[in-house]
Amino acid sequence: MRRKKILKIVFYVVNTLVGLLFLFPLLFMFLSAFNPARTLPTQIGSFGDFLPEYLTASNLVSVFTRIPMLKYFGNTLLYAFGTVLGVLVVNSMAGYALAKINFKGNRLIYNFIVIMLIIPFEGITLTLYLVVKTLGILDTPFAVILPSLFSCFYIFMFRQFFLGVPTALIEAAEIDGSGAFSTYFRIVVPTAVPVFITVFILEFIGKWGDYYWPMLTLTSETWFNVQIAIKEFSTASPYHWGTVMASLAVVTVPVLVVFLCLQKYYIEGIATQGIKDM
Amino acid sequence: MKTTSVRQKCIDRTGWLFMLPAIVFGTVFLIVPIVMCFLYSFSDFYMLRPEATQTVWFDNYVALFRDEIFGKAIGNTLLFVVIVVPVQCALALGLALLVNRKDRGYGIFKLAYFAPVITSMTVVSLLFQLFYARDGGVFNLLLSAIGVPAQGFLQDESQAMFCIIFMSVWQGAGYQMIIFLAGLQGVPKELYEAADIDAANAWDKFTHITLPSIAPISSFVFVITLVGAFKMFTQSYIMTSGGPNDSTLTVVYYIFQKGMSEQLVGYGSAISMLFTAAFILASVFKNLGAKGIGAYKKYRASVLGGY
Amino acid sequence: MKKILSIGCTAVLAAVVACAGCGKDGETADGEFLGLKKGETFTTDQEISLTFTRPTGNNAQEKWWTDTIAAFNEEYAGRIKVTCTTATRGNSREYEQKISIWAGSDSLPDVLYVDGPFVSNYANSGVLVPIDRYIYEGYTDDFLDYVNDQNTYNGRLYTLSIVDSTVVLFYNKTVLSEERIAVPDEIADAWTFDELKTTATGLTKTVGAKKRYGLQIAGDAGEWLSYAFTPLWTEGVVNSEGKVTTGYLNGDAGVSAGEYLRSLVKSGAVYASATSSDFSAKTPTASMALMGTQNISEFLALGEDMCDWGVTFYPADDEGKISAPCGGWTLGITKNCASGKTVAASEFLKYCTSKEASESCARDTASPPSRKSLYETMPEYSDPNNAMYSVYSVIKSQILTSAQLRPKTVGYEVFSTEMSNALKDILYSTGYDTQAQIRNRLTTAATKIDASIAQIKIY
Repeated sequence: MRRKKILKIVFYVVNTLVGLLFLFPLLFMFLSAFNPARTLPTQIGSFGDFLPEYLTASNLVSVFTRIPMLKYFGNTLLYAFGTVLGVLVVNSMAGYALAKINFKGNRLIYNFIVIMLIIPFEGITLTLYLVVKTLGILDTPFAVILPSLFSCFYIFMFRQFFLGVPTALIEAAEIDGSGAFSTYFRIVVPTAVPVFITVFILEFIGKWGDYYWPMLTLTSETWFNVQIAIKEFSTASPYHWGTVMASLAVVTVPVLVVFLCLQKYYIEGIATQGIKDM
Repeated sequence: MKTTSVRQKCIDRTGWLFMLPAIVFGTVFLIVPIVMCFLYSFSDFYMLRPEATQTVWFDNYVALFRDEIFGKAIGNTLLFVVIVVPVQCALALGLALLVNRKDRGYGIFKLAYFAPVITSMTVVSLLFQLFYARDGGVFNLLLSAIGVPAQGFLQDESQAMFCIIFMSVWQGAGYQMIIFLAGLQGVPKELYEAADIDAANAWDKFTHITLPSIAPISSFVFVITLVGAFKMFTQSYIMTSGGPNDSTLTVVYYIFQKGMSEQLVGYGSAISMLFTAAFILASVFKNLGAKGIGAYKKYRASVLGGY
Repeated sequence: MKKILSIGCTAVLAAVVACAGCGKDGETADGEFLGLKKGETFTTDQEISLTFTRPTGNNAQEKWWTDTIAAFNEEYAGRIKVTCTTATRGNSREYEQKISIWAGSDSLPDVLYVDGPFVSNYANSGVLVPIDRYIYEGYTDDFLDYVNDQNTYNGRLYTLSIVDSTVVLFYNKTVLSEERIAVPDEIADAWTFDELKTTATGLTKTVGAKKRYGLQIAGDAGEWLSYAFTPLWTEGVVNSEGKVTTGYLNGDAGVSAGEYLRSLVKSGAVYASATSSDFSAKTPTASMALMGTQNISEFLALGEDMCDWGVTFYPADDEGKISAPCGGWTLGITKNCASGKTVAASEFLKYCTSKEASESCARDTASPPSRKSLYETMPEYSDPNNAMYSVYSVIKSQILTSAQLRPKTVGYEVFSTEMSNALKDILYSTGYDTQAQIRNRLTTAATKIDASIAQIKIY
């Protein structure tokens, strides 16, 4: 018992130390958001150099007053939720088909999707832009939402999850006369809530932090997302270090909240990944 | 015979119907761009003057084989992959073991390890640039405390890639940690209890119970880390712009530089295509390798029996 | 299924390729004049709408553009309507990347604001069309000669400039007077590069617990280092055709330039940072800063937060000759501007570059004007009693007597990136302490640049 107690304390101490090492950038960012200094510390002699002389909220205020930050939040939420919804429908159905429906071409498509995982976005930027332009959706929310709906990675993830769903469950439903789609939506999807939440979080974080593609396709200021806005903000003069950090902190908060709220499901959802043979 | 084929036809139809949305979006937004990219790789497509594009067949590919910078980019990418993948997986597993406890407050620790993943890359790279600074950077201050002269870090050709590797491992490990953690929580308690009765020590328990139980999840972690590492771009782009002297120039960075910055779409597409082809080959070899290992395991099992 | 897929694929592809290829060239075969003569008024049956894109600027620039375009639309009401969109500039060539992608997908605006050194690139590739048939003869006479040179490619005029920019040495007046350092007032007395080094070293000291550096220069990659230091390559950085840098960039003059820059940093006097606030603070991190004139409007906006600052000349070479880096943003008409609109677009160009517009832009955005006559008439530049005269007179003499353009090459993108990367290494990286190492680095850069330029077709 005594040994267990010591072990418990040791774990707390080690976790606290390592945790601080990992939490540092986040703490630094939030601290700097309240820093009145105009420039970042040039010499770091001790951790004291990271601490502001005093705390001020003026940086945060100027993030919301100098630019229409709330509007950008709204835009980004629109893109994030639009994408996430589509992503969940499109990829979960494909993942289900690959895992549970033994249709002709199943294996072929699966192999193809694994290989497509490697295609770097940087390689197809221009050609994707040409496609989006041909569809006439440049400078509309569709330009950022539609291209991200299909994702090899999420299909892969959903397939891994659905492999673990007992086939008997599906067969039982089908014997009861349920059609394939109603089986899927009524029987299978409710068992898969964790993986849906996992994909939700991943895609939400991804879309929230997306910069390059929206920068290329959304030219009107009305459609800017938060990342374009803060990049603009941080390169616009007069440069003010504390304000820049405040803008970064402000856009990190929603992601943080989403993660904290859904953390439990997230781990559960990932827990089912890769259990099955690939 | 005939009934099965009717049934199979029905299954085929359902399967393709479920795949339909993915096929539509996948075709329009991934396959079409890739096919176009493939076609462009045989042309001299110059982004500023698309109307003057001509077919040059294999000129781009021939030029690539003579391109020393491309060779350097491959070398850098391989160096990054070979180090990052095992180190990051090991660190992630270590963190997962650390945090795999039911005591109070562990939610905070999980969040802490996950924090770099959700923090903006801008913040992370800004901080590390500050830490790596030659004058007054944290790392050099630590080194000087133990009597080591100041290092160039990001400003040293032989160290820059390792600095980026260090940061990437730190930044990405939290993500894989969560996956490992999930795997650890799936290991049946009974196995450990049985081991306790046998008075096995912690190390034995780790190697004989924990590791084998999380083997499947490890292969998943391995694949996603590998794919991610091959595509490394952002860190070099933000922290070093490929320097010093191209020592952190990766293949994807080179694709970006040629295809986007220098507008040589034909050439950039050729690099993309070679990159993809190499990966397809590698995955074929990996399958062959896995088959080989499987055969060996079978053989060993037949010799040793059981294990 | 497969068949449908492949047909669908081909159809989409064909559509896309066809669309990408439908650019047209807006030239007529003969050289007749198509624009409006001096004093002629623009008339049209129906209103012509023009799209115009420029990078997002600072507050002063935004205001000037909004006002100017509103005034233009009012004056030309019922005849021409300009719709302006701005594009983020980022800090790493994002604006140029957008131009590329617009050109590649046939979606350029009618009128485009581009950075001066890219004119050759865009002229060669046909992104910009020549405007000499639309701008009457003599219109460009009042513009600075080197600005006209920048805006010309292969003997044809492509763009018109409103204001220009140059690099000067900013200094903190308080610190320099405390240290009893006299700053040259006359261009003939300008510091040489060696004197700059001596002064900067002398100014470097620890104040309180903080080190105060002598000189700040930008530390980031991108274009700045090549822009600011090209004049040190006294024999040029690229051959006269703008296609070969080997033998120039890594020539003897280049190696000694590299050695000088390295020794400047090694002296410990240089603080590398791209943010102007490091210099502008009242207790500055650096006492002097080599920066572009575009920072002036920022300093003015800072008001009381700003240190007491002054400006002196870009350093001279050993013989006392100054070659100040110059050249700035400029307005052109793109290939996407339909032929029926080109005259209207040229009217917009002339409106924005008129004497009145150039003067107001120069004043509002604190940038040197592109027209010679304004240096005689604007009080900031001509009246010694004007509050800004001490700053602007330095810029005036630099621009009128010592301007040097960035190299004219169709590969300016790769040139500036690679040269800046090489300079960044030579300045700050480990292992560039011998002549041979510096030469090697410059040779690597030159080889890369030449290989890339060779891949760009000359049309």
